Amino acid sequence: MAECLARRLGYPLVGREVLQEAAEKLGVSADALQGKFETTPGLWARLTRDREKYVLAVQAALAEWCTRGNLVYHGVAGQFLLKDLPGVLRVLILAPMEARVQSLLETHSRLTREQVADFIRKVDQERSRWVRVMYGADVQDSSLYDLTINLRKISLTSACVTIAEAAGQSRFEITDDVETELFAFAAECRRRLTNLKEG
Amino acid sequence: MAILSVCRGTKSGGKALAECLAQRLGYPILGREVAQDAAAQLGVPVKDLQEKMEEKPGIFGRASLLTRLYMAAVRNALAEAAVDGNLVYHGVAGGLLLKDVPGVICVRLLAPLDLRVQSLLDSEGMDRASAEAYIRDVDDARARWVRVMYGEDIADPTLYDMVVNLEKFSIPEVCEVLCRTVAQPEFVLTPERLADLNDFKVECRVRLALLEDLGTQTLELDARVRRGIAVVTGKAPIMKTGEVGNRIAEIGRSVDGVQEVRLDIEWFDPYP
Repeated sequence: MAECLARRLGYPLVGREVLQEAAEKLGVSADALQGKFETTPGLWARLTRDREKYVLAVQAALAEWCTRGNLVYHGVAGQFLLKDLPGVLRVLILAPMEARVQSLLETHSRLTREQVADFIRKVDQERSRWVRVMYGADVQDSSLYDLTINLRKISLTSACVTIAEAAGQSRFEITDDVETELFAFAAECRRRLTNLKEG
Repeated sequence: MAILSVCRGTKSGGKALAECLAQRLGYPILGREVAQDAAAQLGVPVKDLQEKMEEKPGIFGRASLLTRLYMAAVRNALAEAAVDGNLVYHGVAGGLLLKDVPGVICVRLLAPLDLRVQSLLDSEGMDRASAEAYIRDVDDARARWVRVMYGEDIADPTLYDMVVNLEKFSIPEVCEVLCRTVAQPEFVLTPERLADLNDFKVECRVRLALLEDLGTQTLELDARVRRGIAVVTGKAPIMKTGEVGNRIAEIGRSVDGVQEVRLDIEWFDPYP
């Protein structure tokens, strides 16, 4: 979906690059950083707010990308990292389990249908727990997104056309005012990250 | 080329969106007046039907027989209106009544509480506290009603094809986006889709007929129709005379559009 949108809108596609940049700043590997977004923090990590630093580093890297203009982001926690920012359209894509299993089977032909379904369920549960612990929210709560599209009846291409139409509305244009806010947001993220690292 | 069903909380702009879509697409529009068609079909006053549909569930959390009968009549009236394939519906429980019907786009609008409160302040002249309490009451009642009637969570996004948050979109913008979606190839009205809609219409007639009949209305029955063949499922008491099965088949066959009735019933002994 992100690739289709990037092609259709002519925007750069950003995903793992954000994690890599954040990882470099923190002096950890991108995989280790990704792990912080995929596993629920334990009690100690919650008490010490250890994850905050990692989340903030990714948010700061993403904010820098946003100051460079239009983009399609398909990385971790976009609905929270870019919350309340102007010019941002947050989209949740839902797909029936059967379609997700089929899609994964096409690239992992050695796995059985049951193994693939179990894997998807596990990832969903872990993601849902992560969002609950980190943000106290339900990952499927539609109010976290501007648009939720279910692919049970709408094809991926049609959903892409729909999202591109939504993104093309004038309120999502990066005007001078929006740009100013994005730069201010990036500066604020940098400041908070520096404080957290020093503190 | 499609059927659009708009679901929303009270004062969320659903009617305005439905009107915009109907005007832009040139489709007929159907809202709460679907209850009038349903009441006429049953021969009851529309007020009775509307009151029953909004009635709170009983102490055991089950909808009464009358509520289920009225809802089946509403669904039937909606299916009759949808059979041509082009319609914008913004009446009760659209997302759930049309959930599994092919070619139907169920859209849910989420409006921020402030916007909804403001809309009430403008139209009803209420004070802010009363407006907020009113919206919460209506939302709670609707959520409870959906849970009892359909066993679903009204906020579950998987029930809908699209959920639009009006924090960032205006109604004209949503209307424009949806017009683009409707123009996509999967919503082109094909002969097969029309046949599916006809099946849905006949299916609704069978369900209603089973709920109207004194001999079958208390049984837990459901019906599916595919190209004129009705399959009735559920639980029913087994009788030596076979009268229940015969009655179900007879009701099915009496429905216009049904060519054959098949029973897939779980029979139980009423006097074990």
